[in-house]
Amino acid sequence: MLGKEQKIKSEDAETIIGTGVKVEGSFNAFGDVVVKGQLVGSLETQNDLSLRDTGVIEADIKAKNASIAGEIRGNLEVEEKMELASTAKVLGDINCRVLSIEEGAVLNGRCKVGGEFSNNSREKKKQKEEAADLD
Amino acid sequence: MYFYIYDSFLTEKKYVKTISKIETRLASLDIAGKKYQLTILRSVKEITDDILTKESPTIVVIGGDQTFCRVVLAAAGTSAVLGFIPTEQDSLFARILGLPVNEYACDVISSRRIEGINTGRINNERFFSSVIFDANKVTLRADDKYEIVPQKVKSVKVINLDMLCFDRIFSEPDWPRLASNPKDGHLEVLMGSPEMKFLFFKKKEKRDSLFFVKQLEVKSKKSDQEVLLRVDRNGTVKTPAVIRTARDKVNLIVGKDRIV
Repeated sequence: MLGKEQKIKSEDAETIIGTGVKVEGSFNAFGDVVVKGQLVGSLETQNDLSLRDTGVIEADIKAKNASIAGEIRGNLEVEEKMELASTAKVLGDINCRVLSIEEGAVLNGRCKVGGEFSNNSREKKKQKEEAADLD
Repeated sequence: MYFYIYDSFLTEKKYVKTISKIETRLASLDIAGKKYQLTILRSVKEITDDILTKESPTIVVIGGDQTFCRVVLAAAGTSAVLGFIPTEQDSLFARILGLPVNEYACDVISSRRIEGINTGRINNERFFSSVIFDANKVTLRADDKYEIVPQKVKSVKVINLDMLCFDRIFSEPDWPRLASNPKDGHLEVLMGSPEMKFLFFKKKEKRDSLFFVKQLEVKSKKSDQEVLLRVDRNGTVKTPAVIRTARDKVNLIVGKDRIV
């Protein structure tokens, strides 16, 4: 048992929004995010998002990678890869570098897939960081 | 110099042998020091304040978690180094800090592996381990940015240094890590339902959600009602309360099997 115990490292901290909780507002996550419950507002993480089949998000989303099995009403900006499972239902625009859609998934919105977004967003991020450093 | 604070219950006869073994081991490691015995007349705060007037002290608590926790809070933000020799087999801090029990902990004290550990604040008071309260009687606002609305959870545990569970340890696929990180500048907010026992009826603990926050505002749902928050399993604070990370660190001697 002791061997399994370990602390949460900042790089792999995982926020879990469970089925018994609803989050409302601007949610900037620390590390990866797993959503099994409800989120309304906006969601941003520099790491990965996993939306389970019980999860419902009514928000614009920014994430590095996204694995979607639940319902989203809002636009998604995913820096790298986005996966839609057969139970996924997305009502909004998608912008990502790589997209994988399983049979049965619902996607209702504009879809922009390719390398451009990722590069642009990285450049924007770099410019922002440089500007912050100058400040 | 080493200063040893003996817990009040160690004056009982059954601890004579244990204390004797600890003192022998400390002497053989050449780290014996001044002894302070806690009594009803001498409080932790009084003794700790007295020790803190000395130059670069190492304060070692011999006894239970509660006393260790009180000494940590009294010494937080100072340059003092704190050690712990647990005498209870089920000590939470012994498990987290990787300390063996009784005289076996003396070797860890002697090796002086030191970690700076954060403390938390609830209103104007410090806390070290966790704050627990009823989820259904409060509203929660995190980092001044979002609300967490409890719907099907019973308890909230805001953790600085504790295990990520209410009572028992479970290994579930989504919960690979079991201890908090008291050095990352965040508090862990665990929400769920603790284990329930009623006669022959037993319901397993359920951990539902986990958030990482720097600040959490806790207010009562009803303006005319105050909700009690249990702090470090010992004290209580009433709502409204702001729970946040504190800048003060405390220097703790830890073992190599620590999980922080």
